[in-house]
Amino acid sequence: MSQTAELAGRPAQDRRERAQSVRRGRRQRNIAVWVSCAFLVLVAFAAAFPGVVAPGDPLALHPTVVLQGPGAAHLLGTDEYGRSVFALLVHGARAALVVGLVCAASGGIVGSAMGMVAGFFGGVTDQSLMRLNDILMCFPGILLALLVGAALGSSLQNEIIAVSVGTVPVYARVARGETLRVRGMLYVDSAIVAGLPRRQIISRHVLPNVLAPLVVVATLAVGVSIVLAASLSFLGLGPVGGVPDWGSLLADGETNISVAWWISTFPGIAITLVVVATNVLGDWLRDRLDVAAR
Amino acid sequence: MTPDPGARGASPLLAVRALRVSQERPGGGRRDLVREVSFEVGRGEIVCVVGESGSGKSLSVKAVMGLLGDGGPLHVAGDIEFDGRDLPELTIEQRRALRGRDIAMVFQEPLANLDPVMRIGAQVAECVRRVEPQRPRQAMPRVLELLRHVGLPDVQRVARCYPHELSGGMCQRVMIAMALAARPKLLIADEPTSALDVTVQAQILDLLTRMRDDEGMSILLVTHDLSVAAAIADSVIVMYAGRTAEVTPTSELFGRARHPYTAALLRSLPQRGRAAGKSGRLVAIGGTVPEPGQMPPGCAFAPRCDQAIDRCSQHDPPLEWSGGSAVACWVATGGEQP
Amino acid sequence: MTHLAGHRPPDVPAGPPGAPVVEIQDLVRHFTSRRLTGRGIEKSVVRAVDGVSLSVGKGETFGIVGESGCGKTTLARIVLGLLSPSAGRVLVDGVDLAAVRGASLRSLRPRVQAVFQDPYSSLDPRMRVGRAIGEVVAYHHRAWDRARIRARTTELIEMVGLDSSKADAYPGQLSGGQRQRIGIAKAFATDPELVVADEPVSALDVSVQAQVINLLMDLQAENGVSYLVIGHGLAAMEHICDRIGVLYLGKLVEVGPASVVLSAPRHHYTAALVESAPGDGRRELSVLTGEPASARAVPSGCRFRTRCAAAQARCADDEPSLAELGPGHSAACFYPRLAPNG
Repeated sequence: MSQTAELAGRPAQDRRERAQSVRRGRRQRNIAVWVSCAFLVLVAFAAAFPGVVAPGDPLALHPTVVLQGPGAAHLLGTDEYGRSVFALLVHGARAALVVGLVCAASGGIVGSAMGMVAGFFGGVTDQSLMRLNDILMCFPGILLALLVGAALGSSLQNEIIAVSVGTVPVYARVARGETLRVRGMLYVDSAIVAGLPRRQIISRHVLPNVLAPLVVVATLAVGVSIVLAASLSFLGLGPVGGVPDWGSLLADGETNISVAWWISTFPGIAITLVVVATNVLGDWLRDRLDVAAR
Repeated sequence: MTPDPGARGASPLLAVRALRVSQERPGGGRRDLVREVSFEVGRGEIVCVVGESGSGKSLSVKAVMGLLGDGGPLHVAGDIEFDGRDLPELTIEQRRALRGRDIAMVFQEPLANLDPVMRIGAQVAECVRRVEPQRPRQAMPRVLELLRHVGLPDVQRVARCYPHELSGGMCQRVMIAMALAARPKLLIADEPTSALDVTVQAQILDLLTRMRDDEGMSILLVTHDLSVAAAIADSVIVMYAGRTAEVTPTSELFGRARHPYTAALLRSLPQRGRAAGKSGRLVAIGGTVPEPGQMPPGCAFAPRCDQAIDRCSQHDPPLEWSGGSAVACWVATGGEQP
Repeated sequence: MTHLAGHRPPDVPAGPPGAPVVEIQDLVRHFTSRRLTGRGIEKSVVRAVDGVSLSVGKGETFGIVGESGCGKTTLARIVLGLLSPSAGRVLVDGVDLAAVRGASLRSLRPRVQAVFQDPYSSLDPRMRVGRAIGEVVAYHHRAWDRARIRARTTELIEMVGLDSSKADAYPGQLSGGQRQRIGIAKAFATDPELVVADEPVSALDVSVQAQVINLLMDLQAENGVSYLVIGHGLAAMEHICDRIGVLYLGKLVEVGPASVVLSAPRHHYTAALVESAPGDGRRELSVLTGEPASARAVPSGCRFRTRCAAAQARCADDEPSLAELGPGHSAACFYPRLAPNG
């Protein structure tokens, strides 16, 4: 009895309280968005100019200060080689962000194309592409990335490929769903009747209307990619040599976790914060785009 | 400003006076979505509220029912009297008791208003049990009786069906059956047949007429279709751009409509039974309905009206009553000499 | 007695002289679905269009009336080339639209255009309306430069009664009536011979419907275009159509001049439609009993017999075909209603 159910009314006092809490909620959300934005800008800056934020060679060994806890001398402590955890984090930020962005983008392009083609053409094309997608979806992201990574070997390039493959299914699903929705719209029928070629219909009418949700998926995929890449590195399948990325740092700290909790914990916190920040931004973006579309 | 008392004989079942629904503007102040709405529904009478989109007809009716939610962004003002009781003065509980009991509502899209995962019989039983608390099984005879009353065939089978297994017309009958569970004095129907085929619409309208004739139920029907109003209403309320333009008994509607909007609307409708061959052009009304935020000064219909005088674009005409009819027009009430 | 056996039905009900702009021959469209149920795989066939033949002459307006489930939308989509038929032909200038594909289909498309029912979803919300029209113009006039395309776009927009400044507007900034006018402008961008209008005014405000109806009729007078109008309101259909075909469960049950069919219907379904429609202040709406049959389970013999007051034994055994009862007026009924004046 959806509509015949009544909307509860409230006396005037309740009305004021409800309006206030709505305003409070909105303000809280806006603060979260600003904070996430600021945080990500900081991380990007650190990734771009690590030397400015943490000068010196992060890989240099300092045997005299091994396994020092967080304090005045070393912000986040040192590892078993005396290297500052903070410096390692800052220098590893680049790898984390680059991997996140590149994987989200490449996975996005492949996945979206797959979904759009499947949704627009339907029939056998749709069935075969989606079954392929189903196979990809059978594997949890990490397992998929693992398989690809193990097959291809450890290198940054292969890690990117592996993680991208892990993000493809979600894009394909969303792209297909949105394409099906748009495909059912009369303006697509109108373009077909007008004789426009399919290529043009997809690029000029389907793509712009499908883009909004895909952008949201992309921002969320950045977070997912970072976690996937870190997991791969943690398991030893990431790139070797050079500045360890955050996942490797986590792995390195594992052995000493009982005596030096900070080596694993801070990289973990860093990963978490970046993912949360991208998620908050993704939510905000989705809300904004939803309103705009209406 | 108000209808003559006794114009309808006995006191009316529902009397609405100077109803106003306004909305808070972002920059402060209020914007009227509906204003100056006054009408009456007598006992055993069918009254149609007719208007296009933006006329405020659905909003007015929801305001009367108290469905706009207190404390929300919409503010309702005016006198609403039902069966001698003042509706806005009632508490939430009292109003809730009134709805679904003395007043019942039926909406436009029957399929959207039924729970898709619940069988028809169970949904109607819910309504019956709200009126008379009892076990679900005890309610079934009354459920079947209601389904039969609204003309559904094979009620045992229908009661076991899910909404998607029934046609639009059958679902709408189910909605009416649910509304009738409490034997209401007033049935409010908001575009009940707009989503239905014309032959099914005829059946539903026939059902509504029978309910008025057999049970003395009053019906307030909201529609955009003047011909539906002409077919079953005793009196018609024409709304335009958020206010009442005219109230008239149906017999006066064709040919004796007083408000220029009503007359123009009737003229623009294609008429049946023309002589052979394609007809000439229709007499269309130029322009479009103004948005709530962009009301012209004075009478909202003045820019499109072919009889407008100077006064029309300066002052909004009040609703003038004479007997059971009313019109809000300077020209119709012989206002200022042109 | 007007008891006509269904003898020698005309293949295509007669229209005005001269080569027809579009000729539909025995069009059939079935939708088959297979479901896995407790009893095995159940196949159900929806016979949406079950043998329709008609022709539309040059400059003529042919209307199709019928209720939901009669197949009129499916018919419109087949004529527009959006759906392929299960059987039958749609001849546009002698070429079967349903038999061609790809580039040859695209070369036929300019001749048959569409005006859709919903002015809200028939325009791309993210494209300025001028550009949407220009896109169509540009594709069909590859040699034209930008200026010429823009000039033609402006011409089209003004032709439908809108100010040329509207070209820069997004659909969301226009009213329903204005959007529908843009849809009409887009339809005329290719200089079509036939425009299929699927309930072109149903979704518009009542006070705007007359404007758009007038526009369509004016454009026909200027361009000599033919219309195939799928319609709803009988009064409007009588006003704008030359001939009308009444569709019931995928078949035409009556075809003839609009005013004749609607004022003196010979088929009982047409009569039911006419008498159910409110209007003219009539208080008695004739009420048809029973539910509309489903296109999934079409009754044997005459498909309307389950709701027909005049049904007899024969109606269950044989299916009547369209038989000519008057000049250009045919009905598919073994016991059609009496003509007025005998």
